[in-house]
Amino acid sequence: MIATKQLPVEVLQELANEFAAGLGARAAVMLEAIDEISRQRSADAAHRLRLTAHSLAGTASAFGASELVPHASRLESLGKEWQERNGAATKASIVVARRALESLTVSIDVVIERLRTR
Amino acid sequence: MSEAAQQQPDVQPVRVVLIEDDADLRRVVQLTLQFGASWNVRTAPDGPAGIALVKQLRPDIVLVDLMMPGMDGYEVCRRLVSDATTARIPIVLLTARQNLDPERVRASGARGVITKPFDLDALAPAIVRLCQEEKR
Repeated sequence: MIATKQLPVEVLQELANEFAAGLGARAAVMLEAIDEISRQRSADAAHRLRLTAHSLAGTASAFGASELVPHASRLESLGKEWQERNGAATKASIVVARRALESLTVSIDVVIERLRTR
Repeated sequence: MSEAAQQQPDVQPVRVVLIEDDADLRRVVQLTLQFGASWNVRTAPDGPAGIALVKQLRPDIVLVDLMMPGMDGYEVCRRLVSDATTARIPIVLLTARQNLDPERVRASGARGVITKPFDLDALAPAIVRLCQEEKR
């Protein structure tokens, strides 16, 4: 069995602060992708949404922000669906994406506040 | 990777190349393995840079994120496994996807998969376990 030590609390806090500082930019990339797809078919924007949401879904729990995961996963699924349709999205699915992003943004604010005051 | 290298502080630390596009996760995994397990971890943000780093360093283990922009983890595996200079280096895939095709994972040449979110404290033992299972 390999011996392991936990990261010092101050290092984890610094990493969490950096993660929190980047959350707004991640949300902005997803919003831009949804906006682009709402204007015109864009497989590239669908791919950006999928990758950004996937990355957030895979990273959030490492920083104790697991409440972001369901919203990010929902957006990742929509990005995948749109990508598979060559960047075409129905109006209904765009509404769903905007709602998911709104929920994500609300959760991001909660996470940022919690990580900063920890 | 020898068992001695995992356990004895007076021998060379395990050398790892981590290929992960998410900067936050890259940093936390690197520091966790460096501080927690005393491994020597070098990182790359994408497949091409990671392959170049693996060829340069010839590490003991390669950790590869499966879903990355540009070249994905499967392609990184394929290129490393098909290159005689890197073919014997164990590769472990990291992924947030729950529904992976096990046959595709096996065909990639990777030793196994660690699914995100992972327990950071248990990460090094999980990597070692995957690399050792294949040797049996």
